Amino acid sequence: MNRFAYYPGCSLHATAREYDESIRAVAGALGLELSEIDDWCCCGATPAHAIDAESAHVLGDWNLARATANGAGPLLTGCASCYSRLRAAGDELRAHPAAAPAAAQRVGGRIDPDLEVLHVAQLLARPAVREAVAAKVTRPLGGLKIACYYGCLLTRPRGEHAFDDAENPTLLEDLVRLAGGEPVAWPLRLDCCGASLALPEPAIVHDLSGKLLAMAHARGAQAMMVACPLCHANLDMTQPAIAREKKFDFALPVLYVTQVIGLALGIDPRTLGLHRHIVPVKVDALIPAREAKHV
Amino acid sequence: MSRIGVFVCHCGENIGRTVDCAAVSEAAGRLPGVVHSVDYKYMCSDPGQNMVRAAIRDLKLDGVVVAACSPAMHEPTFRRATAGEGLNPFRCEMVNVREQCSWVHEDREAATAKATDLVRMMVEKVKHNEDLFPIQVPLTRRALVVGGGIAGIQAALDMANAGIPVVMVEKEPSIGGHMSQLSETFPTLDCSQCILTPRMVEVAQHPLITLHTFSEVEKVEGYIGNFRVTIRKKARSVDMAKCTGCGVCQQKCPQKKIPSEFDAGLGNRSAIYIPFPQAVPNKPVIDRERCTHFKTGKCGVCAKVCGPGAVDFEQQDEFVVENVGAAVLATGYKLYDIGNPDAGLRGYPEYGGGQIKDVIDGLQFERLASASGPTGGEIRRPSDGKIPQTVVFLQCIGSRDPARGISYCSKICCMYTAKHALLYKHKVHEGKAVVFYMDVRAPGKGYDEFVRRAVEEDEALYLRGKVSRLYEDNGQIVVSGVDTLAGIPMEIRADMVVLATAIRAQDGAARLAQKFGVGYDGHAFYSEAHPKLRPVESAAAGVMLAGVCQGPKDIPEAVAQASAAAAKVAVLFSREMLEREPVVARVDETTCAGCFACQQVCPYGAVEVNEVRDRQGRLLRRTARVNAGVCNGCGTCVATCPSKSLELAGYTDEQIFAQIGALIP
Repeated sequence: MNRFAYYPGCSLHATAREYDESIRAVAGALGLELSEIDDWCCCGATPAHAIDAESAHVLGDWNLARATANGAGPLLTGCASCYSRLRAAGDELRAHPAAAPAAAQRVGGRIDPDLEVLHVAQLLARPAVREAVAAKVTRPLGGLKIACYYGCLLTRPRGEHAFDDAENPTLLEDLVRLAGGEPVAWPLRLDCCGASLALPEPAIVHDLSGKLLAMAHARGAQAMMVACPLCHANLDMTQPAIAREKKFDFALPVLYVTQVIGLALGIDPRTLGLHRHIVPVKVDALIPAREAKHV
Repeated sequence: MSRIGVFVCHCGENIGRTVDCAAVSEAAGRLPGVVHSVDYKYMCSDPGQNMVRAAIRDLKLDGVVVAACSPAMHEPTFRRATAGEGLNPFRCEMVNVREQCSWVHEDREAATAKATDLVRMMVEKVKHNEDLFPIQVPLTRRALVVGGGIAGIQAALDMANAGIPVVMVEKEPSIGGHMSQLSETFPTLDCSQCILTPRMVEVAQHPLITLHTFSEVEKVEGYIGNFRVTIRKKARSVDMAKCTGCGVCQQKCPQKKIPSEFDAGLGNRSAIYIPFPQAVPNKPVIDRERCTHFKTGKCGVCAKVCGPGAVDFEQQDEFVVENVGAAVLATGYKLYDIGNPDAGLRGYPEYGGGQIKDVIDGLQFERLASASGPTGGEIRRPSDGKIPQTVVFLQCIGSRDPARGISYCSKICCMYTAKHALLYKHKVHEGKAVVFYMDVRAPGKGYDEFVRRAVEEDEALYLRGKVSRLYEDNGQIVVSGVDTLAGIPMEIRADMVVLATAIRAQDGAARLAQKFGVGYDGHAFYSEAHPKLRPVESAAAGVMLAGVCQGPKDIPEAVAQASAAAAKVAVLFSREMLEREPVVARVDETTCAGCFACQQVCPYGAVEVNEVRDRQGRLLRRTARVNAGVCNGCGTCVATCPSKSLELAGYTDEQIFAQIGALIP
């Protein structure tokens, strides 16, 4: 089972291009085939279900139907919000099987209610993929101290097929170890970054994300790892403004999970899109060269 | 020809609303062998019972069928009435047309037809009923108490004071249980040790109480009135007869950094130790896991300094057999360990998983607040001994959360948390006490008043909400939670956090229950025989329950239950012989092939091996035999027996087939 229907979501075609690039690069290195689904639309993110539950379901169903039509396999996404919404749509369909025909009619296509929705990090943590990664690590991260950040949506919805324990997930930390890094024990892994308030209420994001950055830095992190384009935007893109406002004397590179794994697999940093970050990622400084020689 | 009377009860409207009782009675009256059939509004009432008695007397009935509620409810009532007229009570049977008919059906016509069928079946059965006589079982007037906490102590003292010899088994080196660890007790704030230790001494000195501490129940054989209990007396490594309890050994023991169980890990003890100064017996025990002598063969300081030469490194576990007629289980509880949960529970890693020193549980707070505790009663936090200026108390940790595996309420935490907040404020006047709660449950005499006192007089800040995370930051603990009444997220920097962790059944509770044949729930709390009407008896005859082993409860409730259990034992022992229902299995030894399949399936161990011998005493064969004193009449053996050599009195094949036959048109 190495083929996946791929749903990038809006961000990965825009502000989070480097996430898309790194997902494709890592998938390629591991021999995983991604088939981007045709005619996908917005997952609805937070606004849809906050305003109208029905619309949120329709958006989710639309994409599940396109993924069913694609037929490559489980539906893979890199965005925590897309992941959460697509799974919520699937849960809803399974909870109300009687409503399934109407839902299918509304979105113009059959929906496989058992279609598995996977987050990229979840896929990387699967035993077979893990083993493949372990076998192909050529540039272990040399104990690089990484603060894993889950945010709110990655571990939700809970219940069947959940990403990980919602209160105490360890999946990202395991991936950091797999890449030869050292996960930092820090308490705010599950706190909110401010999400989409970056536009209407930037001060809130500055406070919330500022707190995350300060705590990760205080606990010795050299970098942060995320699995969500919006978290990344708040922590990376907004970081210079936050740093000015909060008078930080540090800059914390923020990497996507696939960039961390990609580096360990020896993929060229440019291919992983690391040059696109606002806070510069100085790979050679972060991963001492002598570590690379051991390989 | 039989002379059967049928009595159909309306149960007020309970049956009459759905079943046409007059029609049922009329149909029954036409059955062959039925000489009398009536219906009545309340058959269980005095006039109703008199109708039954008058009919038996005047019409010379030889069988009685009462169509009414469940036999669990009123079978004893009608059998008593039957016996009152000189008819064998086992010739009276009940048909359940309430729980099994009127309550579960709506269609009056169909329900009436079903009730008529049920009555017809029972009439056919009763025609085959025979006289049965209660089984007489001798009994040993001596009781076992398992557990030496407050519940066990109360039960033992009540029984002993009623003249019943008691054997008490306690697994720890001292009796006293958790109550001995408590500081002051709600809602009156009496000192726990001051009210408990005199009772502990009374147990030790009572001429009718035999005390086995540092001991566990190894094996239980026998049945009500006649239990044979094997007790393992664990090797104390100290000769109790020689030891004077002077305490020099524990002073001189070089191993002094062992976390004290009595101080809930907040204080230290030595390897040879008396758990606490008021321990009963006040004699030490060697912790062989930690003793240098047992680990390396060296040291032996305690033996050298012991004047009477009581230290005995060679001592072995000893087994004692005690014969008793009844037992009271009072094994108590343990607290949910957030860092080391077992039984599939997930713990609270988001609260530091037991790694944050200043996040403690309720028993640890008790030790901090106790005059006999490691801080002499001053509230000082474990990490650095500082007096905490802000203490946050979290209720319902582990409890009332089905997602975490425990759905029940631990019942005592609302009260002890209020007490903790209040004690803290009494000791640290300028301190701030914050309580996160789900609901405050304080239904007890003076209980709600006590909580209000903590809130109003001692100004504990009660916030309704849960805490999502605790983490250390700059020597403090950040408490992130939510105040759901104000609707705002809360972040409090605390110096110490006290968790009201869930009450759980004691380790080994399930194993002990299995030894006694006592039922237990999914959390290993022991099951009472009836939740309302038999709350202190277990379903295993002769085994009573007291205290938290049956479910979370506070001290007065545990004591009340213990006294009730003692009274139940006293009732049991008030008779010369025990009478048991004769509904037991019996073996036809002429056809039994001796395969002992029945012995394999019997849940009560009632099947024994019977040796058939000729006149010269030569063994001819072995057959099964049912010990009527042990048999509970479940019928499993009857269904299993391949040669159909077993039958259950009162439920013979003949009777069952007669019932089935009545159903076939």
